[in-house]
Amino acid sequence: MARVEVEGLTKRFGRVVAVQDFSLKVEEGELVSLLGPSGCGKTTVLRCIAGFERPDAGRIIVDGQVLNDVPPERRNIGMVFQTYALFPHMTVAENIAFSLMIRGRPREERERVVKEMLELVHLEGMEDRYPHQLSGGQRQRVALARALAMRPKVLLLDEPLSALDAKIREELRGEIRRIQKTLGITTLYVTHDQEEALALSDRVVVMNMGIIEQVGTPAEIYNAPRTSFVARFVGTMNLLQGRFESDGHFVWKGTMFRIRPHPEIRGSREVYLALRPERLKVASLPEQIPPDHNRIPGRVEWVTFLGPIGRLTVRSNEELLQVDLPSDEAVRFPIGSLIWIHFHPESAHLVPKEP
Amino acid sequence: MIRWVLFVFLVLYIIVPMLMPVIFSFSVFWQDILPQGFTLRWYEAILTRPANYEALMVSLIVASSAVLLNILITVPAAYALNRMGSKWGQRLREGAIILPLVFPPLVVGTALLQAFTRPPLALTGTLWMVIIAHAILGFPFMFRIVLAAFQTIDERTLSEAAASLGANLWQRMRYVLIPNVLPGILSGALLVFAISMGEFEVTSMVAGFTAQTLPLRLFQQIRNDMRVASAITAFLIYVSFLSFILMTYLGTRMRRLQAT
Repeated sequence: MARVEVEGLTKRFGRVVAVQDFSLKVEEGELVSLLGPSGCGKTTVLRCIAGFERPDAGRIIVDGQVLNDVPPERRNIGMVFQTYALFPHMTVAENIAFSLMIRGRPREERERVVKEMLELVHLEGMEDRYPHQLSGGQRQRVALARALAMRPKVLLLDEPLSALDAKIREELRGEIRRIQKTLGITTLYVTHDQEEALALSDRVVVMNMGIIEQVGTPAEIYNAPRTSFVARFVGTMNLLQGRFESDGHFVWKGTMFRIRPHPEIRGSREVYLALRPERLKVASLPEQIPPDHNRIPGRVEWVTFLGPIGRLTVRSNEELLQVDLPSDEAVRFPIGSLIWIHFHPESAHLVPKEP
Repeated sequence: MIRWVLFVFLVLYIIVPMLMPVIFSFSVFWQDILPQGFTLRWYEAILTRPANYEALMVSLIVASSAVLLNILITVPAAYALNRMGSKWGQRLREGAIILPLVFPPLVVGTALLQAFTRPPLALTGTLWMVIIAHAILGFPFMFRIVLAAFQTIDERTLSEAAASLGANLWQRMRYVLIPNVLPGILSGALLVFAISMGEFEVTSMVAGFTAQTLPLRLFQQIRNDMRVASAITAFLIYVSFLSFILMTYLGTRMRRLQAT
């Protein structure tokens, strides 16, 4: 198990800057996700750590050892690919034992490790199958077992679940987390799926256009986004663009809101107010609203049924806001009804507006 | 119904003419509608008449050498070109496949004659010249197949997976890449072999008296002894047909592997 440090990593492809001045410390046994849209540089960071790409600047340090000049085959870092990358001409057992075969380990050890690994990923008895005889989920389990067989210092996963069906994705997500915890292996996980990142990470690094937007626990990322990009990218978010007044109020299109202060926002300036749909409440009459709540009048434009919740799309001041209510409550507000959206000051979060 | 009619036309158009020399090569005599008698005499003549036998050996040596030369050239070339990103890589890959095919054999023959007449490369008329010519003619076909093999196995990702598991370049080649592109290499090798065995045009230009291949011999025999000529033709048909069957088999193997 190891500590991973990335210091000031920069990588260019031609004139395109894929990653700029990326710094991150991953503690022993921690699972950190790199989250962002495609092309944000998250995979490039992973490939630099694995040794497949050479950084233009910065250092990759594992357990205090600078790895920049160490070729991938001598880094002892396991990698799992989106496309599985199993060796098609080898059986499951041969795939898993590949790293041990390369290292010239005796047959008994290889057989023991294969057995252990298959147990770990719940694929007992599959030793003699070939990759093309396995389902996508099973293939990725084999790929995981293969990467873990050599007891790597660090495990890297590059969108490991993106090629799988939703149901299997969720199942395997839990498996990955369980295995990672069992082995206590330091892990970096690249994904564009914010739900995945929130569900299995100790910390999440949100990236956009080659730079880090925010690093934090899933709860921090979700509840207190630091930039409007993070607010928009993670979950569903209503972003009201308005003005923060020096008296501590937020003003949106002539309406004044009481809000929780933000440590970095002082003085009068343009900001966003971020409101999660599930933190908003709806009342049909203003008398029903608690006195300390902020209120926005609006008209229901659309209702989407999402199983446990119903999502109201409400037009207010020429803008559309999303409000999530329990399904049985949502049916009380049909399309066209005039309503009041209200929320407690603690439910809103200020986000600085980039210049 | 219409499908059957079309199928019959195909048979009449392609298969029957190809079968004629095969039938002829086994018959003692063929003057009327049906051939008469069964014999292997004409095949024997390929092996027993020194000029025929020598031509067969020259052809086998040339074809094997052209195959060997092409394995040495196409495998590294396909590996390297498959890895070239960007627009230039794509252009190079396409160029390497298409460019050699658009030059008429006559042009290739002339070019080779002019390129290899001066010392230190005065090879015209030697066996070497024929081998080089056949290797060049076979290259685009083999390169295309080997490149496709590297592309379908997603060589880059497989190599990276192997590297992350501790395999160095040599081990990646030995244990991962070569076993997976082998069907492609064999398939391409067979094609080069078949092309070389049947090549006439360029060979007739660059080969001297020392390097008479089977097709050149065949061309002479057509005027002298039609029966031996049919046996040679039939033999060349077998070579092509066998290569075709083996390549189809290797193709299905390849597809099964890439299904992962």
